[in-house]
Amino acid sequence: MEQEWILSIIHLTSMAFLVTSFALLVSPQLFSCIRFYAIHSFLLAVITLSTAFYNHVYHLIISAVLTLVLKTIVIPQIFFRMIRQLGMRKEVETYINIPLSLLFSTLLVFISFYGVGNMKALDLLLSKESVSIAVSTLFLGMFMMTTRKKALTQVLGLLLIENGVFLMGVTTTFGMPLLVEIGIFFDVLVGAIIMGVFVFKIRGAFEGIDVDKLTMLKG
Amino acid sequence: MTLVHLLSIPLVSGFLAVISPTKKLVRLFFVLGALILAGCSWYFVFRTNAHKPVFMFSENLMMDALAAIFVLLITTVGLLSSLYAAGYLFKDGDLAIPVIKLRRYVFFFHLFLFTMLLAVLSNNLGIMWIAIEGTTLASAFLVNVDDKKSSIEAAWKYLILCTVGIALALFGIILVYYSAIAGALGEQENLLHWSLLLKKAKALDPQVMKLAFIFVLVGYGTKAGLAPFHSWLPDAHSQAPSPVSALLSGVLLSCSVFGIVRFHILTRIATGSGFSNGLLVFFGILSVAVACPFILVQADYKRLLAYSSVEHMGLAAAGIGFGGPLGIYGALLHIVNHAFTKSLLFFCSGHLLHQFQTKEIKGVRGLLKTNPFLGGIFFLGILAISGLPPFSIFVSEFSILSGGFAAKRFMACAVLLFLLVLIFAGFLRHASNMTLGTREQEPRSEKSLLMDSVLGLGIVLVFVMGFYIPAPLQSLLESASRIVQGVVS
Amino acid sequence: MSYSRFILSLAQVLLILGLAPAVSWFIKKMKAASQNRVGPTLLQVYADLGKLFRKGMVISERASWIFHGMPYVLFSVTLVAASMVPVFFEGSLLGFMGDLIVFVYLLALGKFFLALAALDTGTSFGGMGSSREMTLSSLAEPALLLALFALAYHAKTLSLEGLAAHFNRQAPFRILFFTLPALGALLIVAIAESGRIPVDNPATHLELTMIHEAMILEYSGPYLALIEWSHEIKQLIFLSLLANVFFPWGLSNAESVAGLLFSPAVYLLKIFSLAFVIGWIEILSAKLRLFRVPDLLGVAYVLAVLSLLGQLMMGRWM
Repeated sequence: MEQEWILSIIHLTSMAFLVTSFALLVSPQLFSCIRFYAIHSFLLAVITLSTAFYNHVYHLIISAVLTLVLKTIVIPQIFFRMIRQLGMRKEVETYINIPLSLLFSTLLVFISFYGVGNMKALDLLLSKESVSIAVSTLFLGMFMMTTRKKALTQVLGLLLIENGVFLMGVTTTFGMPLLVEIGIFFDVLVGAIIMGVFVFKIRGAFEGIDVDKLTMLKG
Repeated sequence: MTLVHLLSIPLVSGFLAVISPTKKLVRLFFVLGALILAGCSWYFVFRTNAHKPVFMFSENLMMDALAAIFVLLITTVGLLSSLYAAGYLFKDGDLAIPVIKLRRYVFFFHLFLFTMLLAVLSNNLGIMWIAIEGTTLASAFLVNVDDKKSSIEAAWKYLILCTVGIALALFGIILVYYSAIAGALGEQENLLHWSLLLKKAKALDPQVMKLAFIFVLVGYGTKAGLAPFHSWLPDAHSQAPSPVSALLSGVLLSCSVFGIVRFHILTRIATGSGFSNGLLVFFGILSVAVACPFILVQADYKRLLAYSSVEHMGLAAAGIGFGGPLGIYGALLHIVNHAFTKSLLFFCSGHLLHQFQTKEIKGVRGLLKTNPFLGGIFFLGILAISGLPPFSIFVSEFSILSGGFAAKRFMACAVLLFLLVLIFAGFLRHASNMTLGTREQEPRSEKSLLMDSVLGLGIVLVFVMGFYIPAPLQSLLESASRIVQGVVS
Repeated sequence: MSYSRFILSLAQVLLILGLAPAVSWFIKKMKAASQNRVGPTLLQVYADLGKLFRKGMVISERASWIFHGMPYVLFSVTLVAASMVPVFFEGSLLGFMGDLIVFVYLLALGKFFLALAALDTGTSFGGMGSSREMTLSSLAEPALLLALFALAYHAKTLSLEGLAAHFNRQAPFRILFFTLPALGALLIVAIAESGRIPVDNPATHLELTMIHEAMILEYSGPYLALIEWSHEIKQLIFLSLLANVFFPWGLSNAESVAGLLFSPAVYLLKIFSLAFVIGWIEILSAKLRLFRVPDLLGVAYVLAVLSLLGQLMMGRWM
């Protein structure tokens, strides 16, 4: 019975995970984008914890705690401080308007559901739908990176992709060996910090973080 | 002398450079670190029997013949780059770069070397991933040394595109790991070890491996500069300072190809078909085809060299894709030759930038008359990179194409030949525009023995390798070729 | 239908009729409390309705039969729709197979007449309200239909009472994967149909912000009472749907008397909790610009699509 509970929690949080990815994609405000990312990572930590208890893979607990600390608290705080220091405009401009992005994202979600559904090798998995959600999040992250005009939202799209890949790892292979997991976390953190530094530099050189202006190098 | 010692040398040098108070000390640790690293790696590679892999750190690190070649490549080009940079960046006078920036440069340089070494030396696919992501992060600051607008833009594109690609590659690695677990091939912690996966590769699920290979090809291919994921390459390689460009172009791209090759070996055995071969050939030819027009119509000589890197990486990928002893040997030799030739050319470009103060091709005129040494080397270098005999690139290209014919991929080889001829014509045109003719103005000239000697050494190397490959290197290449063909020793 | 079920179903409809103003009162009281006011008493809301019924009417000379007929049409349509919704027990007065689609179209019929009547007097407010309402409903209705279809696919039935019965039979606290987005979609549609912030402000009379109010601006007296009451009934219908499909515990199936006494209380609890949530959303958010409302309804649409086609793709998951 307890196992069923945990399974329900995994299902519920996976669906909320997908809905939050959508929310991230369509938020017109930078602050709410970052908050949704924090919620997204929190849901990821919950899924990781539940999987740890369901399959009795206890090193996932460490990964869950790391996700909670790093991605739910530290990285959003870095971004919030960056926004405050840069004083940038808080709306997110897009190349495609929101209803169209929503439709296109739905299409991407269904491509991934269809693709994963067709892979018989994954039938052994407990929650195959989590794999499709991970792949959808991957696609949504890439979509977000290409259709948003602010440099900071490109980084958020990147982090979304990383979250999707992490979910994939948790549900298919119950996480990588601990050493690798810690290395990956470290990489993501350092990457976020370095990208933050570069956003500052862009702001300094280009007066604003509109990636539309980053078109000097051509040919 | 173990692998761990080898890996710790750049870390120590970087650390020492950061805490050095004076410019001279920074320079000393910079060059000394690279020298010691190169010396130790040569010693290590040729002292141990590289026909049998060396393991360390509970089998997480491994050096087999394939890795050995890349280790030599990384450390040697690293040494050349550091020697050149010692003259190029550590100038005194009105063009002096502040010590803080130099310290930062040296620190990230050695960190960069460390991450590349870790990438080729790791047996654990996860650690390889971490190291390759680390190379992106370490080199981002190297690209952006001068804080100009264009270099910030280039560094940003580089950072973002490569990190996305690498995230996709992680997805592929997870899929490989999953198929290993599903096949119940052994203890779970060891299932990311490439050597174990190689032995049990037949038991991996083909469908999953195919999907994984696609993701890894897209991911690591982005870092390797394969089209159509190469758009960051011309920007990053042209905006970085010349010693860094040499390293990026010559070595980093090769490390990414190394990553692809490791997965290609597994996929070929797992699927038992030419699926991955076909993909490699396709993307290889696509890269050459995409690079071709940009080479023909190019205004900036560093971007020219960058697109040439795209082309050569495409050729290497095609060589691996063609398979067979000729193709693979040719590809590996090509990677080595390209590293030396391209770094030589980038060093020349450093000279050019310094003398003519412009990055445009039409800004450089009459090089041969102005500076015969530089002009001669540059011209010969361009001829070398476009595949003219008797230089080394010709030998490897010939080998790759022979491999293609042996694999009966006649159409592919025909297309490649056609493109190579076009590229040769483009290069010849640009080189002759730059070197022949009369000089228009008296450019600045500052003699630096160090930089000039690096150039001289480079051209000699490139020339000699066209005729004669030293026997130990030859046997290394042959062992590596056998590994890539999946012959488990 | 057996005698007892008939009585119960009738009681359900009467309960909806009586309870509808109370839900509006609850939300008004919440908003007043958040703004440090006292707000109306419960009796006040009913007294207002009664007052309207007793007042005289001022009707434009240009008004046609549409203007006169619309309140009756709207009220009767809403009443019929209310008799299809299970309230505190698993059946409904007029429920039948396929009534899900009839339900949506009945509401659409009411909206149609409302929009026409607004145009009838020829004032510009009316026209503006009608066009806005039609724009929003062209987005909200597909979302509603798809969300209901998603639930119907899961329950393998097209009747509203069937939906409630099916979800009641799932074990308690078992949270269903693909119906969660449908919950989100229905919540957004409920907010849109009830004319609440962030879609429409029910307390405003500024022309920039009116949608529903603009359409009923010309009405007074008993007509206005009927229209207001229908609006409140529609709000309660949506809340009942949300409550009984997604949180169906407490729905009695007319078998035990104790259950029958227990279920209206549970129903009241659920309704007022949902009203609390909607009131909370109203307090915390600002009304969206008209051009932003399609974004919100687009989200509802996408959630409904996600729910329905996700089930089709992955089979009927848990």
